[in-house]
Amino acid sequence: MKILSANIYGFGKWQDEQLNFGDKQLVIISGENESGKSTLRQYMLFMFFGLPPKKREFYFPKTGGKMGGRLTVSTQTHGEFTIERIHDRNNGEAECFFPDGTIENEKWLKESMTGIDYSSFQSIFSFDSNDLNKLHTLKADQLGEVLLGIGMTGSDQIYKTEKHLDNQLNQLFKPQGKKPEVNEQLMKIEEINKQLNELKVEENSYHEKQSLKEIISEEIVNLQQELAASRKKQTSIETKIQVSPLLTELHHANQQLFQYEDPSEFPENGVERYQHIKEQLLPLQSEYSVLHDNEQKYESELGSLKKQVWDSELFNKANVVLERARNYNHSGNEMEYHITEKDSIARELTKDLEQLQVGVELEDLRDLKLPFHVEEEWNQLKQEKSQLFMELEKVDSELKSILHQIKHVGDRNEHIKAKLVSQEKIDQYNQKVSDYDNQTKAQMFNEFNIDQKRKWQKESKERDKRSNIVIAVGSLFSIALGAFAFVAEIDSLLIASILLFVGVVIQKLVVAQSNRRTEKIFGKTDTVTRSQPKQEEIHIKEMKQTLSDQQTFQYELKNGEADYQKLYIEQIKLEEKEHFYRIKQKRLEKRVNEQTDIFSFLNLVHIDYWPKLYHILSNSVLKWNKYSHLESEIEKLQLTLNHYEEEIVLFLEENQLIVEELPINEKVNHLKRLIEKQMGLNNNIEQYTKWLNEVYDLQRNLILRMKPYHEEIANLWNLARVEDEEVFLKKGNNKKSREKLESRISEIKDQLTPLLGESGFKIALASKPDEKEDLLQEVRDIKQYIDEVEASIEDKRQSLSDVKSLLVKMENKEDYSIVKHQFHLEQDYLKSLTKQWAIHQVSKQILLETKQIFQNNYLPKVIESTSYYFNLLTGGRYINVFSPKSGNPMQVENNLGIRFNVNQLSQGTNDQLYISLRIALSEIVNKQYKLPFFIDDAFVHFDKSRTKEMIRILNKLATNQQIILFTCQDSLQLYVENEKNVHLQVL
Amino acid sequence: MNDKISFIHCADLHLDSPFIGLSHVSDRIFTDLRKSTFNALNSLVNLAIEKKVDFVLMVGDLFDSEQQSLKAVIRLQKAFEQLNKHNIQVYISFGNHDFLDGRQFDFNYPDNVHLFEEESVRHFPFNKNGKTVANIYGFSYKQRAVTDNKSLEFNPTGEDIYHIGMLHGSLSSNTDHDVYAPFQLNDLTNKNFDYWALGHIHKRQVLRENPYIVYPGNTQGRSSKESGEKGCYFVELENGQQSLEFYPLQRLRFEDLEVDASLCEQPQQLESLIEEMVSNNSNKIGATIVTLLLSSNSSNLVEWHQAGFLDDIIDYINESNLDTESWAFIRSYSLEKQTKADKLELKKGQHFLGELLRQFENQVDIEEYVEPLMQHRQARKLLKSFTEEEQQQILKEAEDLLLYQLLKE
Repeated sequence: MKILSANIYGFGKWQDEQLNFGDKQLVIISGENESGKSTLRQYMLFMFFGLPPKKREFYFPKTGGKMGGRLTVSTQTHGEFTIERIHDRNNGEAECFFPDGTIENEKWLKESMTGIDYSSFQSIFSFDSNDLNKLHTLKADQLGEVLLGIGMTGSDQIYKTEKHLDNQLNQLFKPQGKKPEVNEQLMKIEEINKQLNELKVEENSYHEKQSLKEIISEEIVNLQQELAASRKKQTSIETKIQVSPLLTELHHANQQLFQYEDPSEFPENGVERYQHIKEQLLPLQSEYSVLHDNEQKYESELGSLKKQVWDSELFNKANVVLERARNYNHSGNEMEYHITEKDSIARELTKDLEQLQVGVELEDLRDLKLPFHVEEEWNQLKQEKSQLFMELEKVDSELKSILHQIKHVGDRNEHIKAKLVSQEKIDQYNQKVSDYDNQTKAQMFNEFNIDQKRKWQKESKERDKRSNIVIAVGSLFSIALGAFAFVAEIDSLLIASILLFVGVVIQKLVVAQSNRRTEKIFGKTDTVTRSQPKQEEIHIKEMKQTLSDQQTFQYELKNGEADYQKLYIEQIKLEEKEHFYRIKQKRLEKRVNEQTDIFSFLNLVHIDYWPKLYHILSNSVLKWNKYSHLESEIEKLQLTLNHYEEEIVLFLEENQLIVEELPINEKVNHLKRLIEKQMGLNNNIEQYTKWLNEVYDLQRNLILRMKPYHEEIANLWNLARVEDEEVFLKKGNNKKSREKLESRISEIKDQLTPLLGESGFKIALASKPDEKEDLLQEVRDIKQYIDEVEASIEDKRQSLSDVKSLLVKMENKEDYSIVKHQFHLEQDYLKSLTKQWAIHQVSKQILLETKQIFQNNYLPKVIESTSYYFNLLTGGRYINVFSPKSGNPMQVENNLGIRFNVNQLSQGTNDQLYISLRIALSEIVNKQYKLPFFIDDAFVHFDKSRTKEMIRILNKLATNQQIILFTCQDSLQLYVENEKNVHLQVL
Repeated sequence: MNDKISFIHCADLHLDSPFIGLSHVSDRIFTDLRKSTFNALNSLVNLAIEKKVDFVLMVGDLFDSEQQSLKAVIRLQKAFEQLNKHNIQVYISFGNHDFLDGRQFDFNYPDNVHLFEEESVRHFPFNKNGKTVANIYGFSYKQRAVTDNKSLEFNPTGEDIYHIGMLHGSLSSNTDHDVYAPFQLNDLTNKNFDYWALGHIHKRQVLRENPYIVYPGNTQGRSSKESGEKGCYFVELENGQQSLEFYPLQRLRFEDLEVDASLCEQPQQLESLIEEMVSNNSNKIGATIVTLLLSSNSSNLVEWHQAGFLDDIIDYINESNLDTESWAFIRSYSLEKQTKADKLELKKGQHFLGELLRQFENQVDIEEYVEPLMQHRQARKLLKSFTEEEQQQILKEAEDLLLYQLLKE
């Protein structure tokens, strides 16, 4: 960028001023002090960057009029344009006018400046004598660092900032320090925190205190209860001491009482009641003992009588035996009568049997049994025998007649048989006749077949001919086609021709095959030879005649044999009939034999008389029966008599009643006498029994009278749960003693109850009374214990009130609350301090990092450029500048190759280095958009030659970037008079 | 239909809990600060008695469990006893700061106090003239965090009485705060409740009007973020009519104050300007802790700030402004514009400043830079690492500081 001209409407001392820099690269504005050089410089900056209102006010024209102006510049990218700013227009914002009429605003201008604002422009694109003066005031060891900073920002601010930040950081915090604010605050807070924790612990003890309070209160209540109980016990023991004698007696009585049994089992007034009953009972008991003596006397008398008397069974038996003696006599008479009758029947029977004379004796009748069916059987046998005889006679005569007929028929049949020929011959004749017939039929068929064959041969020949024509035409066509295909090279046609040829050949083969097959069928039919047998016909006719005769013979023979058969059957039937009768006859004989076996006497009698014999014998049997009945009656009576005799003897012997051997009648009499004596004894027994019963009645009467008394006694014993008088009386006395003791105890109770109470009395009753001395000791112990408890209660009350007051104190205490709030306030303060520290710390770190980046990325270029300008400025005395490396400050190298640290250089050389750095920096920072470089009286300390050199160099530099040099040295004019690139503006 | 009932709805008393972002206050202010939460409690009790309310609802965070002092519990107990004398019932649910398991002191509160001591929703009937006129529903935090939507557990009984829900939690959409017991507005309006007494959010807001769904805010602001009036709501319900009235309880307020210093050419001018504005303000609204927001169209402020003049001015004002009841205390200031340089333009430049500013744009690891302090034996215990917000602030201030230092003439 190049400033071409300025049109100042009003700015500080400048008003309506037109300045034209003539399109020159180096503009030297020279003037005396106070000539408005600095204001002009400000004006230019104002045009570029504007100014805040306050500052604008500072540059209001002294003579009034509007503040502002125009500045025409030209740039490489945008060409020529004019910036206009007016204080009260758009808040002093710029407008940029282009020759083509377009107008741009402040924003566009700012963007064109690419990151350069007023401040950075000041530090990069301008410097004045002050800057150099500052450099001169620096200490030697700072110089390198400051120059480095200048290499980066164009000023010494980096160095200053670093120093400032370090200072602040050290004031705020040091890791090992105590004084810095953060360190101090940390210690303070730690102290407060400690205090806070202590207070917290104290507050937390509130709960413990409160539970302590509850525990103590509870303890006091418990102790008070204990005290009351002890006092009560004391009183009770003292009472015990008072009533000690009574207690002893009570205990003694109670002990005794336990020795007696429970009296509840004994009836009221039991002993007296018992005595009274006994007095009543005594006379009755003596009367009873008299009766008892009589009873014993009668019983002994009865006993001796009962020994002599028979028992009733024996007595009854004796009477029965005696009664039977009468039947015995009656039976003897009856037996004698039966014997007489039996003998008469025996005689009668013997006589009848002798008359019959069939060998049957009297004794045989005993076993002869003639049941009713025997008579029937005997009659039947007689009739059947006579009928059978007649039947047999008839059968015999018929049989003879049949046998005669059979013989006749048999002879006739034999005659016919002789005329018959053999069967083989007949079959032979039959065969021959049938063969002849068949031959005649076959001849007729053969003639038809020959006709058919002739017809077919003709047809087959025609077919063969047709087939040959097809094969000829087909082959020709196939060859033609094949040739054409071969010439035309059409494969498909070639194949077709081959196929056609094959097809034709197959056709021919099929026709030939078919003809051959048909020929085979017809070939089989051979012609049948014909014969001519004329003589044979006659022979056949003969044979046919023979066959017909044989048939007639056979028929006749068949009829004859049928007749023979019929007769033969008739014969067999008759023979069977005869046989039947013979069997019947045998069966009859068997039945006859059976009868003769049973009744042997029948052998002596012909069967025709058997029915008559039956009647005689049955009568004899009836008489025999009567005889044998009498015989058995006699036997029975004899048995009865014997039995009785045995009975009486046995009876007497069994009962040892017989004294000596006596006849039967005497024995009966003896028995009679014995029975009478027994009857006398029984009467005596009856008498004594009667007396004894009377005694029994009296005794029963007495027992009834004594019963109430006995019951009363039993009742008393039962109540007393005893079994005898002795125990009863003992128990009675026991009860009386016990009642006495109980009444004494009751008396003592009446005396003690008011003192000891009901329960106290019960205890006293149960336990052995304490020794008085023990009781006195116990009272002393309790008194001492009570004193201790009272003291303890007093202690606890004291502690309770202490705890309570402590609790109230804690409740009202605000220490924890205060310290807590304090802690948080201090904490917040610490936080604000640490934040301050952090801000500085971050600033410093980022500054260092940026420095590092700048040193790496930009500084080498700056230094390189610096070297170039430094070389120029020093007229080649110094040829190189080195950026600081590893602890070494910035160094320069002279034309002899010797290196110097910057603090070893003279002031003037350092000034030159500074200018070189500034120019190099501005060049690097803003390569593409070079802003004019402002130099304000920078060379006051330069000698003439150096200044001249400086101007020369500036002139050279100005080819790259416009330089505007403000100076009060009019001598400069001399150096630039002839320079065409320099515009000199004298104010 | 139903008898009229009236009650006070408050929440987040945070009794005796410390203040945030204050340091180096005078003893007087320190005492006032420390007692402010109790003063608010006293005012609350006096208001309840004066209004003859039926009951008081305290919806969580009565105190901070971690910082709980005996004093807080005793004072609370005394307040309840006072209310008990006037037969005013108190319903308390505990929140994320005074969760049940974190309690350090157990006290026997008087009979008028009804504690929700379970994490599941329960209700207490409120009886008036011998009959139940309202059911009050609530729950307490057992642990610090309740992440379930508790509003779903609030189910009114079928009785034809008032149903009032006490819910310490936040709208699930509100992510400015720790989201506890999150709910959506629909969850509450869907239920047949007559009043929703909310707690947890310290900023007062009426979320919905029919029925009222209300955050009363806390009763005493404790940091500059909790500015303005702080207090409770006085509520009356009668036959479908409802009224809601806010009553401030705070002893002191946090306020932001904007001061335009464009006309101040000298620090002294600025000092008297600030002093005038601050005391006018506190005379109007009572004791105030002020955060200043300074602006100017000149670069003076930045220079004074960097030179430490502003700190001196504020210290001076704070020391001289103590005697009245309506004191004012400037806790901090911030500048509208921190530098006179045009950072945006500079950033484009190829020069050192441009590089420096670009350096700030890179990921700057502050934690690494501040390690020397954070590793310090004592600091390690007492300091937390800087929050993201603080880090941004530090970076910005560092940037301003560097620009100022590097460009100052």
